Amino acid sequence: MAIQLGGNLLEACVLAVVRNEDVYGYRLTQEVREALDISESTLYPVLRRLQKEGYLHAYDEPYQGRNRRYYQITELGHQKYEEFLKEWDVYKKKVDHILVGGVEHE
Amino acid sequence: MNRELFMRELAGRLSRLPEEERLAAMQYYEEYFDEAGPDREEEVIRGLGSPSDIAKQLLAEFVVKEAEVKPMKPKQSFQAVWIVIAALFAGPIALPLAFVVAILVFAGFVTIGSLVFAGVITAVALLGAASIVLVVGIKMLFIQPATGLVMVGGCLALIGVGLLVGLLMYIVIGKGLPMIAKGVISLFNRLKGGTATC
Repeated sequence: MAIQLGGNLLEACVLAVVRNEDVYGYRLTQEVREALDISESTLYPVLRRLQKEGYLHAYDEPYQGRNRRYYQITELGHQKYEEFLKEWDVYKKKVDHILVGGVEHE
Repeated sequence: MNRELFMRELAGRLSRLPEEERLAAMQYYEEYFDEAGPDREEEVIRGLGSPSDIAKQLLAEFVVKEAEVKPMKPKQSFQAVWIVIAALFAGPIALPLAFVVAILVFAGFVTIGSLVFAGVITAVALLGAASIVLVVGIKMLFIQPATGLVMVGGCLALIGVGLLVGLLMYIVIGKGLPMIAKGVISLFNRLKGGTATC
């Protein structure tokens, strides 16, 4: 099934993954790609945006002689995630209402 | 296309961004290639898409962020609109959608352009005619004061209207272009997710 994603849904997914554990770009992309068929470059703008808006915090950690940039969720990010969850719930219910229930006519 | 060429092209295309942005992006992709490993290099290059498309997207996001914070002058609005449209065409959005946005913007420009054109012609005509009659009216003042006064008074009023129209056009451009820019930007914000299949 192909859905037109709003930019928000991707942000929500990223926050959801980072919520569980700090994650670096490559790994995050692989995880999201397990569920959604996105291009490997799709997540960078999202990560950058979330960072600038204060929902994510980035830090560097050396790994095997090179650098890994990890992304960590902030307090603001947690709140934003909860907001997204509520929106998604509302959206889900609306879609279910039509998909499952059909629209009733008087 | 190999990693080095990819990164070099990306760096070139990102040169329009402030250094901090460019460096952050370069670091992300260098790291991405490192993590994927040399075996996956070709696959990653295919998966990432063209450096040009990536750069267009990043540029548009940056311009949009800037626009939200600072009020834009007409010239900047103009540039911002082009950058965003380029990104829409490059991105994962369906081509027809991108075309619709471009056409809407074009329509907006044409509307503003026509308004301004009409306004300028009106203002010039008013000012021109009024000035001529003003000269005649002033001469009349010495011959038939009453008539002269009417002419001069009428002319001054027309000149006033002409100047007002000119001012109006100035405002139309000053407000109209940023309005178009904001419209395109909010469309961009809603469309940027693209399509995903699950």
